[in-house]
Amino acid sequence: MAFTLWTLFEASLLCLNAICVLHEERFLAKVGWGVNQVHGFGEQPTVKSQVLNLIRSIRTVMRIPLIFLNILTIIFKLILG
Amino acid sequence: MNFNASDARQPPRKMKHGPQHQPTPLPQQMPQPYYGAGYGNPNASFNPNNYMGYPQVPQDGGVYGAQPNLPYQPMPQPQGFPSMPGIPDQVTAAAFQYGFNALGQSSQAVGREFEKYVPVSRLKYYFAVDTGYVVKKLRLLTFPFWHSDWSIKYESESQPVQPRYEINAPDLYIPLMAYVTYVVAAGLVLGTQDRFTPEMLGIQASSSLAFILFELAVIFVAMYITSIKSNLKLLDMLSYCGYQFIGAISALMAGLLFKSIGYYVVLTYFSFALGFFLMRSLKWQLQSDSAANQQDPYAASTSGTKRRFNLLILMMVLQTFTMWRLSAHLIAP
Repeated sequence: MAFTLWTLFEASLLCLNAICVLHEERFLAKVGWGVNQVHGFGEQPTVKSQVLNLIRSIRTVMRIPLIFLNILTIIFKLILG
Repeated sequence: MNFNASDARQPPRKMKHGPQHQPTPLPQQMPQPYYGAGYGNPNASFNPNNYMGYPQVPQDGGVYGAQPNLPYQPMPQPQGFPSMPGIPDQVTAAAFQYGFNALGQSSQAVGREFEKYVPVSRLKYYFAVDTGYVVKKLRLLTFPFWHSDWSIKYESESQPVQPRYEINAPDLYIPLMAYVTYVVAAGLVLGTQDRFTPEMLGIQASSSLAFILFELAVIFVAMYITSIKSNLKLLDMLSYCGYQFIGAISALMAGLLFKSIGYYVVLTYFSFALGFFLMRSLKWQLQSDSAANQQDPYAASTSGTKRRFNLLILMMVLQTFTMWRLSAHLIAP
């Protein structure tokens, strides 16, 4: 399996899609990864809070661009197989 | 030619071409361009007299008039412009001047926008190397165990001294050359096994680029997650990740000469050498968090040390893995 720029792009697109479909209330809160459950103005943010911050910011920022990227990729794959 | 409206105030200049014409009002209405930190301005002397384009004193008394409100060198005389039929020379010259102005301003605006995403002006720093630096750095990369002084001299707050004066500073010349050499060496090795096609060169190039991008993404995400703040920017990380191509090239060459066993020996040696190099170079460049920074930038808190250590281990493992993946499929079975 070749590790090219195109496969890297596809893999990252799939990963970002996966992060974006995680639902806040239905899933993350149940697991204990909800946004409200990790607060604190502690001196050093823990790894878990950073990861959750990252997930939340990816979901906020990448929602709209991901729509376009997905459409582009689908068209591309339809045409070129 | 001086297009300022203050022409009337000044004594007429010696011009080789026709009478003095009406100056166009256009150049004064253009806003003063803002210069980013990286751009040099050839007319950088901020003379308040010249701010609105009304020079009190002629800059030079020659044929090439000074144009203080334009952001670049004065344009040559109109006799260099092509003469169009039916249009007087001065109008042509004015039109050309306006075109050049607009082009200059728009290209500057584009440059500024581009600068926000790819720090082009910082690139010059990374290519300020000379032969002595390259030789010493290569020696350092292949045998870092005897080097004792790993500190970097800084010339301003965040900018280290240029690489040609400081051997421990990162540069981008070696990684770039190593990348190209790696692609060529891959072609060579494939050729000796009769597996070479021209498409393979492109595939190798894009594949190794993808590896580098992936490594950079993993490192930056890891730095964010463990909240390790450092002065290292994208280009610094790119240079530290690019040094592994040297290991890949040497392993390839050893594999060419000594078959499989030579390849694996050189690969493990370079993994250790590069790991040691990274450990020593990056140990003091990764701070742990802002609280520690405020109290004492040189002390490391205990949890911060562990995280830094883990991050360095992660980098070493990543680079070893990448070096192996870059070259393993090229070796003859």
